[in-house]
Amino acid sequence: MTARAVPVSGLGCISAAGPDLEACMASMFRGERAPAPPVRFSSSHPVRYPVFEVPDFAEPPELLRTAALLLRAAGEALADAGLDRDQLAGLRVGACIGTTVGSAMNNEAFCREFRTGGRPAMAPMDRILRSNPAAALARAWGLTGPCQTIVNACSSGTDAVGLGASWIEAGLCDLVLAGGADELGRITYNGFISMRIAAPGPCLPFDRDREGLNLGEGAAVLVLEAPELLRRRRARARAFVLGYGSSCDAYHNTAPSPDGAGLERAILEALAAGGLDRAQVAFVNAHGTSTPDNDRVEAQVLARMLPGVPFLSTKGYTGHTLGAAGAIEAAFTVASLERGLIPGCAGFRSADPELGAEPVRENTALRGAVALSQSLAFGGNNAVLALGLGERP
Amino acid sequence: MDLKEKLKTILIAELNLEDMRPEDIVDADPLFVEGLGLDSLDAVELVMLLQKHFGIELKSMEDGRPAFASINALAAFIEARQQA
Amino acid sequence: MRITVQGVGAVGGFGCGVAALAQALAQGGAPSFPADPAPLDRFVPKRTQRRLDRFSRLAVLAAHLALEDAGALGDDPERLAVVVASGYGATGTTLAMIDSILESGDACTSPIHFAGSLHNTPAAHLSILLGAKGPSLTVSQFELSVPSALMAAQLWLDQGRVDRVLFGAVDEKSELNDYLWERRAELERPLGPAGAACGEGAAFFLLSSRDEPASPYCTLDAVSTGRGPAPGQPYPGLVLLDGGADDLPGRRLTPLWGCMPAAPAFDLAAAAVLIRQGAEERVDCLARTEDGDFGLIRLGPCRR
Repeated sequence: MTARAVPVSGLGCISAAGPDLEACMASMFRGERAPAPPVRFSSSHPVRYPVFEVPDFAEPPELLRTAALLLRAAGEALADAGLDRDQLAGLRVGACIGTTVGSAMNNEAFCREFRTGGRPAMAPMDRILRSNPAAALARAWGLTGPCQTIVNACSSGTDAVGLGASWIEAGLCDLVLAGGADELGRITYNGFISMRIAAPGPCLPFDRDREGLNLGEGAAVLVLEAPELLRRRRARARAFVLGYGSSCDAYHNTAPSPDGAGLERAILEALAAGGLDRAQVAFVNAHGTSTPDNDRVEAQVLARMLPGVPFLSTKGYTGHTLGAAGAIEAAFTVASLERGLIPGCAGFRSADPELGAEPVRENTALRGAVALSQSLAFGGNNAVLALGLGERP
Repeated sequence: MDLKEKLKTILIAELNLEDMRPEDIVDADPLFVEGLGLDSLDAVELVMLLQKHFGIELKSMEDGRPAFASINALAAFIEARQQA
Repeated sequence: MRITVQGVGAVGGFGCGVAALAQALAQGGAPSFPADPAPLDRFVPKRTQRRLDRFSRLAVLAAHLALEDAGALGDDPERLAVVVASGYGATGTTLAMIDSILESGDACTSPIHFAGSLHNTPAAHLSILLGAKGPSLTVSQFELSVPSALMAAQLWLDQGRVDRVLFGAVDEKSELNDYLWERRAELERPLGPAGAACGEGAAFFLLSSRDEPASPYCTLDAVSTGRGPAPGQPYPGLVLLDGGADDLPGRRLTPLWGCMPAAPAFDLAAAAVLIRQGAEERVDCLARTEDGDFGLIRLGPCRR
């Protein structure tokens, strides 16, 4: 363990796979998944592209769904860490959250009224202005430390955990609530369909017949804690953030660089930051969106850099949760390390010879205490976290 | 305006080919990679434009591949679909 | 290890370039909108610009001006990070995307506008144009976007992850912003101070922890954000205020640039100019929100 390892003392997660982290893990290990056409909104596409909605979750009227999902996950994470409002009050607590939809100034009804000559009321815009994820989290818990909402498209969640960890390392904060959140909505749905990367059926990560992604929604929060505070509280870390690496393909706005050089660079940086050897990596939680391009590039990089290391995509269980993905998948990675087991890659059936590697099909036992969780984003960002098993029995 | 002229006008406007006029686009020249140099994002925009301006729905990107070879190919594709 | 501001680039209602900004600072005057990104033609071929919407053009222009100002155009981008802040993102493109749905239905959503509406699009364009493969970050924190993003830039330089950061902020004025501005004024909950207009523009900086040959504008001494009173008060030198109550002594420069979440970046540019001119030794740029959050950027002189 290097001196830079940042303790993770609490975790919270909500996704289509479950209302909390335990429920998510249990349903994934049972191999359950339920992609379905959206229920909360409608569209006029003839094909009913499936999505992964979070069931039985209604946001309060004053907040965007994204912020509400985030608050739910944060509540679970803080309870898991054994921290309450009073304890937070005396500490420097930061909020570092990734999102995509949660920061967008879009509201269709408002714009429709505006465009048809109306003078729409401000309520929807006020709700957006009130729902910046990191700021809403800080306000809800009375946090007074640094606040940052990261909008790096699909790598936002991974970047937020990596950056949040660096606030602890730099001594800026005693605690950082780091994570990501994103909601499903009509505009995002229409956008991904228009880009022809949404699959008309359930997604098939790394599969020979994969056609595209399914969108999802959710949130996850990791409580990152300064080691001195952890000791003072006599608390235990569930995991450690050992390293973080990120890079840019500098290739194209929406297509990943075919040679995977950017991802390779980010993986090397994360490993180096943690003083880790590739041989220590027990598994990789891949981005694995199930698009032809992403999965090809990612699998080829993994085959080249980490041959034989088990990997999976959990997006077959949750859909692609955009800004939340990196955080949700970091939470899943920690929970998998704790159990010494990873779920099978839902949706994968037949190997694609072009990829040079295939994910695990079944629940698979792990050897080792270190894992990588990685994300590749529109805009060419690659972000990788190296996570290590903690000390909590 | 004939179909090819209309296509060129649409491409210039919607794909933001600001420095071009319709007469700069050669009917037989490639649209993608070489020639006009369009990319994968233009390709999906073009699929949407076929729907929006001509009511043509492409089930897959593969279906559209022969059409995207040039203005000539695109015009022929549209005419064939509209007569069907 | 000191962090210096090596180059400043800006485009907005005052015109284009750090000289135009310095002139507006010296002479005052009201900004005129829309801001004009046409000078981008000097840096990026027209054909390459076609994928850049207005929002990205403003950012990419200001970024290139900053690099040019630093004498760093064409430098190897190997140890360069790109950090961009925006309060509202590409509102014009977002509106255009929604328009495509409203006008022609769900199946006619424009993928180009959708891709363009993502907040990190300007950062992506900069990486591609400059061949910059290092870390890239875009932050959206409304009025605190600039200090929040600058914290990340400073941290990466302090950690030695990179030794230069192309840092900047951009906000765009679309019909949507104009309507919000107008409506909030009507409701007596204005989005900006009296006398300021709804603004747009971009301000970028080349920050460096290297021993640079060229003489810098100033040093970046500290960046912090949080809630409650900002640290370090009372401030020894000039204070540039953005948002918040009129309870602290300082100057408000928003009437020069217009009001927008990215405005603190223009204040930062003004501070750099004033320090370089020798008019001020230290400047503190303090952005505050109605809710009591703050973002503080402290700049100092370049004497070794």
